[in-house]
Amino acid sequence: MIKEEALKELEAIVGQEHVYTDPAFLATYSRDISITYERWPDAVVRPRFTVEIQKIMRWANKWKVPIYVTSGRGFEGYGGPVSPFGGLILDLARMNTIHEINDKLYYVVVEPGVTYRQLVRELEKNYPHLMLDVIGGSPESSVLGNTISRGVGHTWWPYCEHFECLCGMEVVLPTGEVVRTGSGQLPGSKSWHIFKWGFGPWIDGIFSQSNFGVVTKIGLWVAPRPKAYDWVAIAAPKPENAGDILEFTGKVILHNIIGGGVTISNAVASFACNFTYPWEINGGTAPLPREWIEEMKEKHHIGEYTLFGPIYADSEEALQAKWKTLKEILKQYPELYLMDRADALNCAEIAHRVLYDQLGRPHRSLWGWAHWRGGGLSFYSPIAPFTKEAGLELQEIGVKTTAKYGFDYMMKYVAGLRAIHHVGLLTYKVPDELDRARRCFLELIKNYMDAGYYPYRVNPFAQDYLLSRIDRGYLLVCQKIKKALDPNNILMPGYYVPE
Amino acid sequence: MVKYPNLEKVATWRSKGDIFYLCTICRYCISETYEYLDGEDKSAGYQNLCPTFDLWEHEAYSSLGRISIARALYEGKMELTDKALELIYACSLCGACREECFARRRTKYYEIHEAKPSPFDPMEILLALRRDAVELGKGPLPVQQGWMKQIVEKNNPYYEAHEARLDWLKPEIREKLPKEAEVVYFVGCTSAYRQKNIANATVNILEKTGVNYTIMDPEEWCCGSPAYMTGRMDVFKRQLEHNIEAVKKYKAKRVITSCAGCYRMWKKEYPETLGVKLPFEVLHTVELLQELVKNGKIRLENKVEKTVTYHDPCHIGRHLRDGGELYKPLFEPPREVLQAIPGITLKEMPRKLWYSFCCSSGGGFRSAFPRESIEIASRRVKEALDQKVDALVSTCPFCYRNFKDAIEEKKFNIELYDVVELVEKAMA
Repeated sequence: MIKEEALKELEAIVGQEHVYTDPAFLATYSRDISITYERWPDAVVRPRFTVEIQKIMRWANKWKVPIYVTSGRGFEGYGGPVSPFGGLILDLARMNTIHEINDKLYYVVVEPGVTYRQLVRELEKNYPHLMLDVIGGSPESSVLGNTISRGVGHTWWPYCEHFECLCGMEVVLPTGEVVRTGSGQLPGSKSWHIFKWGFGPWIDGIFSQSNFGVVTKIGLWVAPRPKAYDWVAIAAPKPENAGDILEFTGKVILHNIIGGGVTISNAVASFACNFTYPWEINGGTAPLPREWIEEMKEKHHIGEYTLFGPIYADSEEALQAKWKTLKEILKQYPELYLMDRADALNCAEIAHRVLYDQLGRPHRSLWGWAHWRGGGLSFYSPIAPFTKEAGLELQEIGVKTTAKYGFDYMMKYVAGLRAIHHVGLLTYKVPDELDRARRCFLELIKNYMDAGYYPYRVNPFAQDYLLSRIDRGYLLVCQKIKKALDPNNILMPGYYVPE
Repeated sequence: MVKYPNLEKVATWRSKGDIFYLCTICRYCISETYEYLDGEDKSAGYQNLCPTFDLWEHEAYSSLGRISIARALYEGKMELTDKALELIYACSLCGACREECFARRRTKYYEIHEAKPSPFDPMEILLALRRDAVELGKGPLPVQQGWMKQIVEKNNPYYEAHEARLDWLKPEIREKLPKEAEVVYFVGCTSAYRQKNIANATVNILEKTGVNYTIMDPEEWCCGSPAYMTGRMDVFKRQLEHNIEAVKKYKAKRVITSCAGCYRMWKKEYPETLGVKLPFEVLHTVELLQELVKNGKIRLENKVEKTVTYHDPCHIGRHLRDGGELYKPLFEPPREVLQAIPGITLKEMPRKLWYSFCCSSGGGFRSAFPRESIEIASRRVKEALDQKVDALVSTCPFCYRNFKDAIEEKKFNIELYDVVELVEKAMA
């Protein structure tokens, strides 16, 4: 519990109206849709300015109050604004200023509360030649939050790898000082958001997926809107093609035929975007029968895996050249085939990608996953190479582990340049299936890690499980940094760096 | 643990208490969805649909916040604090959240597939919560309890004498009101006591067109909508029983209402609560106007040179979704009538039809949160002004009243009309 006197001081920093202690307000921060355990914070504060955060950090050190940071609400498959330890939630949703849009050097400078929708709306209205890489999740998500969590999007390299495009940050340290990274450390520098490295050690990386500071501003490179765009949908008809589709994807991305933001979904994940779970079939206690899945695949004209990738080019001719190369590469995989375009667009997920995400327009239809069984969705996301073996192994582990707990194997791949993000979609009905889902989730993480596929990002409530395996030397460095920057351990204790 | 019997009735989908978890905190209830569906930004900057979130900018003031409170109360994880009570009444029950709620409407664009609609209904959950608050002796809010007493004692929430209900009516007309007629004009409290301009315009049109009508003098009582919306079902039932019996006495075949709130009560809630089909037809005045224009009884010959925009009242709009043959939203009649008036140019606001932005007078909100209600109405007026129109037009005296106050307070340069007023101007 936070002392009354401490709360009064907090109110003096941000104004009484921005400090919340009544359960009626805290209720919205008590749960999310992931495997997170319900936990109520003691209080929530919603600052507006960096200077207020500096004061809040000093306040937290004085009163020894642990702080959990959130940039507002969005797609919560990796966990929402629920603090695993209670304490104070620092909700940055009010910090929603777009500080700069540079339409000549193609970058933006944003605060944590700026959402994909807000930024896209601004770009489309006033800077149509700029294009933001958007995520498949909610348009309400924070651009900054996704970037420092190393989220990925659906256009092309490097823009689809968001942290890759981050250039210069402003960070409030747990003791209240402000640090500007990259060229921002150099007084009067004209290159804060165009030259990442600055001078001396490059420290931006330590503020992503960490508890070393509160990031209050970032520069982010955005793409020039491509002159020519097309999309391709390719089906891998059978489970045995899991390796083919992955290897094929690696080839077309490495040769810059398809944008790095290519997505591949398995059949059940595609169904979940179009309709809800067929409870009448087995009551949800066992995976859906294979015959039913096959019947639905045929009915909806989709494969076991469906790839939908963007093709960008500077001209129609270049676009056609890419198509030609793509078809050449496709010939190496005789079982994969180009889908009929009308059939493909009838699949809600494909329509979502090709009509929205790949053109830099956020959309929300993927909430269908959360509603597949009844309100629960958690992502487990091992990283894997673009190899046939990996495709088959990822599938085997996923199918076996989810089946053990009565769930279906649902997933989508999101590509990087050298590796694939296997975004597993664990969906469940809340509250009944939540405990079972938690057990399944942990076993999925374990089984993938046993096979060498470690997640790129994980729900805070499951991080201990992952961190127990991390190399001690690496952890030692992280812990020493943590101790130096946050001697009282007030900022997100245990978040990505074990205590 | 405190019991919430009304929440209990709506809490179960497949297992006890699971309905609250169908809210996936996606924020669809707050802001517009499918904004790019046709490659077009439909709302052009007016992104929020939830008026109270638009004002307070905190999710606790949105449907997802109220669902969180409902769940926590139902599961005994919090008590019904004063702040919680305030939050569950800090809503005009406009229903924009239900329109957009993904848990409820996820099938909207995928109906070609075998999706089944969800039983999740954020408005029903909030109404249940308000009814429980009343049954626990905590709700409604004190100011609402004040006018509730007036409804019981004086048949109106405006602290006015029942005897003064028809003071706006010309004595010569009042004196000759028949005791039986084909049409009963149900004036409604707001038109009777506050927006008499609407009542007068309506009667003038009825007189001019020779409709066989009457007004229930002195039997007309408040329709009960304020009681229904704030959880006082006992008061609501009292009102409905009286009003239905009164209309029967007048042997009317039709009841027409000026007010969107009254219309919803008569059209939807009265028959649904009683479980019977009413022995008369219920129309909003705009439906009657549409009919009279079509059959030539109203000739719109005077030019009314104005560019106008139309505000869809929630109660005759999205509140009437899914009514099958029984009721449907009145989106077309007011537009058709307006466009039939010579000289009128209709320009739509970005938030319209199903996605209309509530004026925030309803649901007990205006009386409990007067400053906030005016502020929200002002935002709607600004949206109208952004369309570069001469006038904002609606078909609900309660919306009218809130807009009028907002226009006066903020000194907006815009005219305000009810559809009946423009029709009266245009009539030969």
